[in-house]
Amino acid sequence: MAKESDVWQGTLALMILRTLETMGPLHGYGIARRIEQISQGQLIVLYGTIYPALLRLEQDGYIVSEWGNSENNRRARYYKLTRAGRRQVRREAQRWEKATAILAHFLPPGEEIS
Amino acid sequence: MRPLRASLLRLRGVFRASRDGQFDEEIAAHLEMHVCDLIESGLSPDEARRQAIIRLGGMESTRQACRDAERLPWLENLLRDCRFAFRTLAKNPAFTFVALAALTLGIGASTTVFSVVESVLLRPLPYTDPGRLVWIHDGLTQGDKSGWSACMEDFLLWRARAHSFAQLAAFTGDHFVLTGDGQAEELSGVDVTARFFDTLGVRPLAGRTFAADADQPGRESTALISERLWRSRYAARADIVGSSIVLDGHAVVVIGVMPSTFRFVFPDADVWRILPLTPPTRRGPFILRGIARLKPGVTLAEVNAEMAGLAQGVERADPGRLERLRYPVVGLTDAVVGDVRPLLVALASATALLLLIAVLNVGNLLLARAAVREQEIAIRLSIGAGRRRLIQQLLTESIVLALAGGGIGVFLAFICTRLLRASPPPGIPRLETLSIDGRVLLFTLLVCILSGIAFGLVPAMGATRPNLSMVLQEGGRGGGESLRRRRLRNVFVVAEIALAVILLAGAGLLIRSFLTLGEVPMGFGARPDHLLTMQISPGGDRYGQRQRLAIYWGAVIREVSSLPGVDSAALSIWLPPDHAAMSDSFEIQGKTPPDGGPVVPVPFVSDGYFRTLQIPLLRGRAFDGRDTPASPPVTIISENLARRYFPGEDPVGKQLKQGGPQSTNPYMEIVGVVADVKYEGAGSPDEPVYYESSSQVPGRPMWLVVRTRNDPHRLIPAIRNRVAALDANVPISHIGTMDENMYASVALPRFRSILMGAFALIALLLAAIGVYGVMNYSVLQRTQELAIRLALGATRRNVIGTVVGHGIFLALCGITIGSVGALGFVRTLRSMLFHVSPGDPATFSGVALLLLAVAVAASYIPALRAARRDPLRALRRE
Repeated sequence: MAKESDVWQGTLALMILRTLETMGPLHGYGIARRIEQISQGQLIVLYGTIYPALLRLEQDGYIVSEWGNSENNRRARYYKLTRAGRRQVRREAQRWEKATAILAHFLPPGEEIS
Repeated sequence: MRPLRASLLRLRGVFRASRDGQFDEEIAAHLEMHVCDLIESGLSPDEARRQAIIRLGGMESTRQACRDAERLPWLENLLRDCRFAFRTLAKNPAFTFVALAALTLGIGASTTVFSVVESVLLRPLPYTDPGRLVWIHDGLTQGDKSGWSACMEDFLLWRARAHSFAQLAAFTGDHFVLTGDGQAEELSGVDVTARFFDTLGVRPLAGRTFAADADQPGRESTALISERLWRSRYAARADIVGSSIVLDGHAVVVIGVMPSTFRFVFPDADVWRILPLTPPTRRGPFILRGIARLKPGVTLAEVNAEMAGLAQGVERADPGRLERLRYPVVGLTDAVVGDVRPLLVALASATALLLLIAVLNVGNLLLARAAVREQEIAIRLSIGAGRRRLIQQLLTESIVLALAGGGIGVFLAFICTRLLRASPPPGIPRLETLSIDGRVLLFTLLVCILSGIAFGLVPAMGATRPNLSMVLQEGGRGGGESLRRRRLRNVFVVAEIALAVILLAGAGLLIRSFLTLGEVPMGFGARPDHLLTMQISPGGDRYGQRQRLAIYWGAVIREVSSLPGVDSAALSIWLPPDHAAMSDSFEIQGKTPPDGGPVVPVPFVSDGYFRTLQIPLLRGRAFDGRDTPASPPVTIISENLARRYFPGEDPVGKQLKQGGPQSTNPYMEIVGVVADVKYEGAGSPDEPVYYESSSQVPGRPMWLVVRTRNDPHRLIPAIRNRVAALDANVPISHIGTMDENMYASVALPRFRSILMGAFALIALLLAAIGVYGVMNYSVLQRTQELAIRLALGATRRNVIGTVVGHGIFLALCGITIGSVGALGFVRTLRSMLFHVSPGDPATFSGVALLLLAVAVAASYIPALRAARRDPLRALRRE
């Protein structure tokens, strides 16, 4: 059985990758804000958890980082999706779709879940 | 691949300079952007900063999370623990030295013994599919020491009738004199039947092995030679294959060269000559050994059943002749290493015990140290160190210690295995391939880690569960070793003593056996250090005729006897203590069973033999000038033969025949009875022996034995010259004194006594250290109590008595438990004991007394120190 944090880490990684795919190169703060935005405030991420996740993704070779200047001219580290990262987004997205589709059979719409 | 890449990156992160600075900058930028956004939404700068940090989840924990993600935290912990362990060990040199010494000895011994067990017992024999190779023998004969023997009739029967074998061969050890192409050389070799090499599944280095019909009578004589001989005598000439060499005066065609890696039963063999299957005229001589390869799927039980059936068939065809005939078949591996298995099992158990003592010893030391470190650990626990983490750290420390000990131990084992390979103790086969290979190293690594955990876990568990408030309240006063720990240390010491008792008892029994063996009378009166022996091997056609050989031997004795300094000289094919030659059965009309008497040594000896060795003549006469090839054959029997087969009557004048009832040999008249002599080692029982006169039946090669007035070594050149003057082509070999021969004949018992003795000595030393450590520590702990007693009027004697009494109590517990264990252990030694019972009371009580004395001595020193201390000063310091 996976620990809760593992599941969370997996999904957080996918959210980060997906964010970078849609938004292009972005710094940690931007990614965190964007995830919060997209989840419409339902997901309260401690911004700090973003950074270890970014580090791991970089170690896995899905993203690369470099220092750059932010919109208001501050130095910040920018993260960019690699080709392997793009493939990983596809793969993970499919996996999620499949998983939710399977789960959907178990949880038909409109039925009460007790 | 990706997880691997990530792991490597993280591994690199452990050793590379940290990205810490970059994290800090990144997080600072993050906070700044967040603060700006919050200020824009209307918060005050301070409040904005506060909120931003809360949303981040704390500065330090974020940094830590990044650090952990960058590296491998467990590896970092491990490295840190290792560094810490090294520092701690370096800070306590005395502790480290004793612990390392114990571990080095324990692990070094285990590694050496395991490498021996591996190369002798575990590694498969170096032949094709060795599991299907078997050894067959004739169950009738007791056989000589080096293996079982069968005769040609048996072999031909197996070959013709047995269906279980894919291949079958027979062989017998032989000696050859090689002449031509330079100096005469005496070679040891083997006579083998045609399928010998095919049965083993080995290939020659050059040339080919024997054709399937090469052993049919009347074929050209062929042989394979060893790589050693090929290189040393023939300069590795390629054309040696197909050329002729002269062995014992007969031309033999060399058809191949065997690589030096090939060894089978006779490690020094240089020649494998074809053994022609000449149909025998009688049952015997019993000089052959059979090997065979089982057909696939045939089990040992099946082949044994088939062979037993064959034997019964023979019995039915000629009832009464061959009772007991069974033809047992055993696996070749068992036949080769079966004899040493008990020794190796005993050695392995002894080593395991030694290792256990070492582990207990180090555990004991660690327990003592845990008491000293109680404060350190208590403080660390109370400021929030996790217990798991602390145990992990303490365990790392003990494993580092074990690995360090193991490292030195492997070095020690490396030296030991080289020594063993260079001068292997006799009787242990296959040591030439002894080495410390990957399997041995893996074993050692495992032993290190397991012993590290074994001696580290209990102290670590105990140390991390202290009563915090108690320890901290004690302050720096160094008191209060917990009762549980004290009890544990006592248990450890008792166990150490018990194990030492077991090893000492084993060593004591082996040493007693060895000493007893040295005192066994060999049966001859001459001083062994004044007897010179050497083998003389006249070969070739020149001495093919009995008469010429007899003349040669006569000349040798005459020449040597006339040398100044020589008292007496003689010849024999057998020599005590264990220079074996021909054995045969015998028949005395109406006295021996229908299949003949047992197969016993038949020494052919020259006239002066009994006089030279000073073997007492009990009845009749010795061989003398009356006995010639032309005179009626005579024999002299041993006391044992006389007692067994002529009870209450005078054997002199009776008739005895060499070989069984079917033999065509003539009856010989018994002319004398001599005292029993040990021909098959000091440990062998007395057995019937009958002598024949070498004037009537000259043997070759023969042993020359010379009794000298002074140091026999000085006569060697003169004797060599005299013999060479007779015929320079006759090789002389194995020159030595009887003293040296006797020393060599007990090499194996000596080897195991020394080995077990060394183990026992180490065990004793470790046990002494253990007792001393515990007593010393307990005296320190009881400083206050003892001081008060002294102050209240107890005498020093009382104090010493209390402490030593405790030591004696521990020793007695250990001795009692150990004696019970020893009774079990010495059972594995039973086959190695000689005239000593496994439960020998003298040995056991000696061991008990020794350990008691050691325990008293080890506790007396701390006791004396405690008693001498000025009670007032001791109390004040507390």
